[in-house]
Amino acid sequence: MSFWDKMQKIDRRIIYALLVIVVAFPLIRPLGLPLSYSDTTLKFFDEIEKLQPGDRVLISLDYAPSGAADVHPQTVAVSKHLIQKGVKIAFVSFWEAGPMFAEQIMQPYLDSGELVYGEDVVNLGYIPGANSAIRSFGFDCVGSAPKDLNGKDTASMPIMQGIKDCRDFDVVIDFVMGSPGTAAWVQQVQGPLGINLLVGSVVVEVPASMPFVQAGQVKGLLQGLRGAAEYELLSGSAGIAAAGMDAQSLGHLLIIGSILVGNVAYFMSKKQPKNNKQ
Amino acid sequence: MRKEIPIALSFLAGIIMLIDSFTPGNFAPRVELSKWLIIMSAFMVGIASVNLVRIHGANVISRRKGWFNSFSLLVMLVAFTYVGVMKYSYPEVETWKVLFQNFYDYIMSPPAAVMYAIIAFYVSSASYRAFKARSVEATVLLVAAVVVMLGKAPVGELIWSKFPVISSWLLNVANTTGQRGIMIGAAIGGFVTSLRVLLGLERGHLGGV
Amino acid sequence: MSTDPWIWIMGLLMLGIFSFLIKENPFYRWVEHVYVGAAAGYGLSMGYNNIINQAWDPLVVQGKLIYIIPIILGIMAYARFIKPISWLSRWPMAIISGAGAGNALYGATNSSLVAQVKANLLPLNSFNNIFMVVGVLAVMVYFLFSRDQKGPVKHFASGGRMLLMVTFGVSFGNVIMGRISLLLGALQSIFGKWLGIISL
Repeated sequence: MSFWDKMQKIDRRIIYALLVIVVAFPLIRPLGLPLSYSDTTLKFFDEIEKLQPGDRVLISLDYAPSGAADVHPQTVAVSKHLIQKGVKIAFVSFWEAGPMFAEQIMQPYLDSGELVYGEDVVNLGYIPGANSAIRSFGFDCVGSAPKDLNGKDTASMPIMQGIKDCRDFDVVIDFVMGSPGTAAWVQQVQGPLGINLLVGSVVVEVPASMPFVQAGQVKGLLQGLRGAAEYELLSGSAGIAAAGMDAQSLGHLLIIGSILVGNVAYFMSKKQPKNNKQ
Repeated sequence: MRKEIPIALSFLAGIIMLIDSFTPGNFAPRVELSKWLIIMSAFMVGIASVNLVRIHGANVISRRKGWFNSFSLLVMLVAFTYVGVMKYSYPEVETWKVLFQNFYDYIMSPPAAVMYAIIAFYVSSASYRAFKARSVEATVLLVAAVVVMLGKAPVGELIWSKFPVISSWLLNVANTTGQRGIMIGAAIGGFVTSLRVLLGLERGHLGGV
Repeated sequence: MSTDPWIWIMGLLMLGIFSFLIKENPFYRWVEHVYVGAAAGYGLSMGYNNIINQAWDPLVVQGKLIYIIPIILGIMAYARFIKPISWLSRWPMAIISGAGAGNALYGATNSSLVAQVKANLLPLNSFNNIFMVVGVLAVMVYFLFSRDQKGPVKHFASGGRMLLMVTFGVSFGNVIMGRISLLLGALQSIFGKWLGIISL
């Protein structure tokens, strides 16, 4: 077996070990690589910057723990920025797991007394029914979520006063990892009502969301963990996402290196005369 | 009755939704139907659990191989449900709230996160073994992927400052063009399928009656 | 290293799933079952909460008797487990899929067809605009299977196929990024919350 043949049959566990090392190393020893901002992040940030204290934003948490590492840092960074600006937030979810992420975000602010529940922030819970539920909520927010996650009447809450449909929110943000998500919000609510829609998405979903961004149906888009890192830096509070960017860089380099070495080994192995291959 | 009523119900529900789309303001039957859909969907959440209880309950009762795993599954299912029911029945009791959040944060979320995270290992192994530039199409795909990765990772900017620019063009222009073609095609397909469901020609979702 | 027992449970469960990378083993299978049980229990809790808030309360407290109908329809979904009456489970399914189809007819057509075609009617005054207009047409021609692709149409469709390869390449690049982000999240939990090697 020639060198290139051996290279082609390298033990997968060596690649696994290399991946752990290149991702873990920069977490322990950050490299401090510079980060630029993508245009979709800048547009997203600009839309949030336009908001005034007292404005109301709806955040739809349409993701689960399986993809949370890629999208939850976005929710944390954006929520933090909104709270700093004095913007009121209503959380809702069309994914079963969503409401617990809202609880994670709200709890420290409620415990410290920085926010008052029902006045500054509310968790409307999980509304089952996928696309139909999104449409129903989009057209009749309080009617579709008559009680919050803990069974309190939403109609009497100060934050929900004057909210009939999603147009009454200054901005609607969908943090999403699949379906129902961006397409459902665009088709069922943004199209018919013309709401101001921003999306924070796992990076896997980004290519499919781009036609909506280019058509102006989605005003701004955060792209996965990198989008979260960019937003953290723009809003002046570097956090968990920015800390992970070095590791992501090295991870990418390893995969690109794997593709290159794998291809070189493949072509060199093919070039070898047959009698040398034994 | 077993065939005609479901088809009629499908048609009626679909027509109510469709009329609403062309009606200014809230079409009252749609508002009511939407609430019904939410209630029906809430009930359906439990169907998977009933299935799990049937299958794993039988495993435990007949002590089949791996019965302890099935037993653990059922214990977890019952425990989480009990804590959840108590939390939502007595929202003012802090203990249930904290316990429910801990179950979610430390028992349910970590395995889910890792199950998807380990795909990174398979992707890295596959990129070494399987992604070969065997044809022009495969080469184009690989080059696009590599440029996008370099453009998105901060290290790519250090290697060549144009990587983010090219990567951005690939995503914003080339990808949008391709995705839009797919989206338009899928929307036409979706339109036809929806029409077939409404007219009772498509019955797969009803068990092929 | 953390002294919180919950964090230790988290760390051990994560290790259990990671152990699958070496080979399938009993610890992995046990963690997998615990996870499925937890996810199902969580789902049942949320379902219970929704039934109380969206159905039971309006019916019993507010006296909206009409809600008996969706409640019965919801219960009918469980008829699938009782063979003689399993056909009853088709009723709620029919209503849900019919409503979904009705929603899609307008929603998807409006936003994913009409709006996308409109957005692609660009002035042909720049390379990008020309690329997008011609590119979308080429992709659609590639998917046109109702007649033989010969001559110039075949070449045009080949261009569409090449563009799709770029699109899939972009998606593939994004998939890799996404998976590394997820691995990063898992390692941050293990090294940060559990082992305390890094600060979060």
